[in-house]
Amino acid sequence: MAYDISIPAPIVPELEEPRAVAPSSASRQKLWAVVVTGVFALVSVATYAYNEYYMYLSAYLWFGFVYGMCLQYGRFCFASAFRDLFAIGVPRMVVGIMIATVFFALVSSLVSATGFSTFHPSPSGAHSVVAGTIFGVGMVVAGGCASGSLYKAGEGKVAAMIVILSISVTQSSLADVGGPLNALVPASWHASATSKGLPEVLAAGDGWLDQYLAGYVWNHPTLTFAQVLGLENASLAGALGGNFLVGVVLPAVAVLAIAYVVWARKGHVKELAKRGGAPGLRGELAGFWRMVMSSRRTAIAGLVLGVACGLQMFVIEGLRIKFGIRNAGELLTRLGSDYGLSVRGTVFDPGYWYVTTQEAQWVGWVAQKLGWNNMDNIFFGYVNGIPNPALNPADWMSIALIGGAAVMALLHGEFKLKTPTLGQAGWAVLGGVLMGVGSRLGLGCNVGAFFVRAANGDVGGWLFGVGMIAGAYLGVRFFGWWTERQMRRELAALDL
Amino acid sequence: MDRTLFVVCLIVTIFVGFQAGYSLAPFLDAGVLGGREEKGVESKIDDALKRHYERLYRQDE
Repeated sequence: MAYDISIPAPIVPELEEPRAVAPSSASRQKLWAVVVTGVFALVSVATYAYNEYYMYLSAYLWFGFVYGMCLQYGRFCFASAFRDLFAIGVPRMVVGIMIATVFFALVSSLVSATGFSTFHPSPSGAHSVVAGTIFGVGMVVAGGCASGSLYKAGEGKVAAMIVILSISVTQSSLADVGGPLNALVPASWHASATSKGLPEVLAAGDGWLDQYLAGYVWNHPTLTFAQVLGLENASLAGALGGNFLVGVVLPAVAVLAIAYVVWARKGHVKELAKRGGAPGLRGELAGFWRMVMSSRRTAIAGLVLGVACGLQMFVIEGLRIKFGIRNAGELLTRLGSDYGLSVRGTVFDPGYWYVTTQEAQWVGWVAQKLGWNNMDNIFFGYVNGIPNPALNPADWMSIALIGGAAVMALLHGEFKLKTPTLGQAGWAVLGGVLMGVGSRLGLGCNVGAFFVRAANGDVGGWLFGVGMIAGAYLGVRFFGWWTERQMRRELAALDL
Repeated sequence: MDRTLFVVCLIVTIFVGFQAGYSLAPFLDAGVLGGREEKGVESKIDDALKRHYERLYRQDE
C-alpha cells in the first residue's frame, strides 16, 4: 500500500541564484515580463486619462507591483522563514524580515511624525497571540504565508492559488456565519455587542465574528510604544523615539541576537576555531554582521520593501489630501459606483500594504452576487464593504503584487505552472482555513497584523508575531512527527 | 543588471516617482511641510451623504 507523504513545501532553503534556462525560453520569458509590465502601465495611463481619481487606484497598483517584485526576488515568505529556522537552523529569511520591518518603520515613523500617517493601531490583547498561533500553524501547514502565497501564485504555483482561495473563502464565510456558532458566544460578548449602538441592519447580536469583534475585541485598548512612554504618535519623539527605536529597533535587534546565539553562532565559532581564532566581542559582532548579510537577495528585498511600504503611506495620504477624502468609498461614489459600500460609505482602504482582507472581499462580492447577504455583518457591512473588485483599491494592489512577482519570476527564468499532488492540495486547503481563521481573529495576516502593525509601533503587532512564531514552531514539529509517522508506515508496508 | 530587468525597473520607477511627486504638492498645500499651523483637510462627507449611504443599504436588502 502506498502512502502519500507529501509535505507542503521543501524543507530545504530555496536556491539563492536563479536556475539556468534555455536561451530561447529565457528570451520568451523576458518578453512576457515586459508584456505584463506594459499591461499594468497601460491600465494605469488609460484609467488616469479617463478620470483623475483613478490615480488613487494606480497608487495601490504600482506599490503592489513593487511588493510582488521584492517578495519574489527575496523569496520573502514568513512560513519559509520560520520553517527554515526551526527545521534546519537557517536564519536567512528571518533576518530579511527584520531588515524590512526596520526600514519600513523608519520611513513610516517619518510620515507619522508629520501627523499624516494612514496607520491606525488595532485593539490588542491575548486574542492577538491566540490568532497569531493559529495563523502560524496554518502558514506552515499550507507551505506559505498570506503574502508568500501571493508571490508564489505569481510564479505559477497552483498550490499557492489554492491557499489564497482557501484563506478567502474561510474569511468571507466566518465573517457572516451565525446560527449554531451563536451558541458558542459568551453572554458577556453578546451583551457588549448589542450595547454598542451599531446600525440595526448589521444585527450585531447575530453572528459569531460580529459578537467577537463588537463584544470582545473592541473592548481592548489600542496601544503604541509611544503611548506607553507617554508620547504622542504624531510627534518626532513619539514616532522616532517611541515607535521606531523602542517599538521596532530594540525588538528587532533582540530577535536577531536570539537567532545569532541559538542558530548562527555555532557555525561562526567553528570557523573561527579552524583559523585559530577565538570569539571575542569583535569576533561576535563580525559573526552577527555576517549573519545579517548572509543573504544579499533577501536583505536587498527587505530594504526596498521597507522603503516602499513607508512611501506608499506618504503617497496615499497625499492623494487623500488632494481629493479631500478620508476613504476610497467617497471616490467610488463620485465615480458613480456605490454598490457594496459599507453602511458608513467606506470600503477597505488601508493606505498601506495589506493582504488578506481584499481577498476575502473577492469571495464576499461573488457570494453577494449569488444571493448570500454579506452586508449584514460588521466585517463587510460596517467596515470594509464589498465593492466591485474592478474598482477595489486593495484588489488592484493584490493583483499587481501577483503581476510583479510573475514579472520577476519571468525575468529570472523561474516562472513555471506547477500543479500540486492531491496531498499537497489538501494541505493547502487546510493551511488556508487556519490562516483565514487566524486572520479574522487577529484582524490581519502576517502583513496586516504583524509586519505593518509592528513597524508602526503597535504593541499588538508583536503580540501577533509572538503567537505566529509559536504557531510556526508547532507546525514544524507537527510536520516532523507526521513525516516520520508516514515513513514508518510505508516501511512497515514494504516489510510485509 | 539585465537589460530587461532595467527596463522594468525604469517603468516602475517612473510610475512610482510620478505618484510620489503628485502626492507632494497636496502635502505642501495642506501646510504639512510648510509649517502652517492649521494643517490638513476635512472629509467632505456630510449628513446628507451619510443618509444616502444608509438608504442604499436598505435598498440592497
